Parts: sequence; structure tokens; C-alpha cells
Amino acid sequence: MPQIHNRIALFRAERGMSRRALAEAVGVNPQTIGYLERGDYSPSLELGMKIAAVFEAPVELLFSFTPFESVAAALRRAAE
Amino acid sequence: MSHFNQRLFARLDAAAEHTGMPALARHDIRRRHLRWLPILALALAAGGWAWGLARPSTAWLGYGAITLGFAIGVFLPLFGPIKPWGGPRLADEFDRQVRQKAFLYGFAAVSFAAIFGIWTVLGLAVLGDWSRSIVLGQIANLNYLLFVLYLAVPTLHASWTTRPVEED
Repeated sequence: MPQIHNRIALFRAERGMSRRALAEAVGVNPQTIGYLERGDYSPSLELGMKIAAVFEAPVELLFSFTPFESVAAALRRAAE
Repeated sequence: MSHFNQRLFARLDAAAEHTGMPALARHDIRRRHLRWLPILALALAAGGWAWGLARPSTAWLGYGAITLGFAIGVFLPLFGPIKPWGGPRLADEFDRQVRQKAFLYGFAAVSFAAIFGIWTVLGLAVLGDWSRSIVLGQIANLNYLLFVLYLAVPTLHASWTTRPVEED
């Protein structure tokens, strides 16, 4: 099964949201958010869509089959 | 509700509280990854079973070792990372996946040990010309070992396939 990469930690940090708050919003345990962020667990479609809804972002902005570009690399590319 | 029923249910509630089980169910047990205790329980149980097979005349020593493994094993589902069915805490999709895989390995281990064990006992009984009582004792030891496997293997699997997540 291919690994699903995600940017949950980035979105959470941007919003100043704790794992517990996100977990409560989507109905899972805070540890599960930790496992998701660490890439140890690929979420169900339902959970993925719930997380995307919390951040009011399309699912493909949060989850991808290929690794996301790092923030530093994106900033460098934007500055060029 | 009639007065009689109210008193009856109140007494039933009090009797249930008296057992201490509701208090245990309400208590939020801190679950943790138990990586070495299941190995200890399994080593004691497997060692005890092997001892009983090797020295049938002192199989009670092996039985004692399996009992020790069982005594450790009964605490593993209570304090290990696998959340029970119908427990007081939410078992989300991640917990359910961990539990599903852990019990898959647990039941596979029990099935394999049962088949392997029964043929081993049978073979050694024929080779060693064991008496009926010795064979019954060996089968009892094997059953006991299977219980320990059922208790310890799921916790062992769940504890080694996941890593604890720190609080943020």
C-alpha cells in the first residue's frame, strides 16, 4: 500500500491548533493525529475529508502520494 | 417505575458497585507500549512447556513457569496499547486497525502453536511410551500455553509495530 504524505502539521501550526483540538474536531484520539503527522498511518477517506474540512482546504492540498515540497524550498523558489 | 422496582434496581446497582468492577471501568487507565513484558511472559510459558516435554516426571515445574507467564499475561490487555471492544475510551480507526492486525497475529500464533503442540505431544508420547496421566498433563500444559499466547502476542505485536506519540 503506497504511503500517503500529508501537511497536517504545517496547517495545524499555521492555525495555532493543538493536536487535541484537531482530534476533537474530527472525532479521533490525539495520538492518531500524531501517527498521521509522523506518516505512520494512512487515514481513511472519511478522516482525510474531515481534516480537510476543518482546515477549509481541498484534500489534495493536505494529502498526496508524493512527498510535499518543504516550506524552505517553496520560499526559495518563490524568491527566485 | 414502581417503588419496588426502584428499590430493586438501587440494590442491584449497589451490588454491582460492591464488586469494584464499575469503578475499574470508569477509571481512565493509562495505556502504554509494553515491549518486554509480553516477551517475558512468552519466554516463561514456552520454557515451561518445553521443560514439561523434556522432563515429564517433573512437568509440574513447567506448569509453574507457565502459570507465572499467565500471571504476567493477564495484565497485558489491561495496560497494553490495544483498546478493548466496548471500552470506555474511544477506539478510533487507528486503534481499530492496530487491534485488528494484533489479533490477526495473535490468533495465527495460537493456531500454529496448537497444531504444532498437539503433534509434538503425540509424537513424544509414542516415542517415550508416556502413561495416560502424563499425556493429559502435557495437553493441559499446552492449553495453558495457548492462553498465554492469546494474552501476550496481540500486545507484543501492537507494542512493537507502533511507536508512542509525544504530547504536544
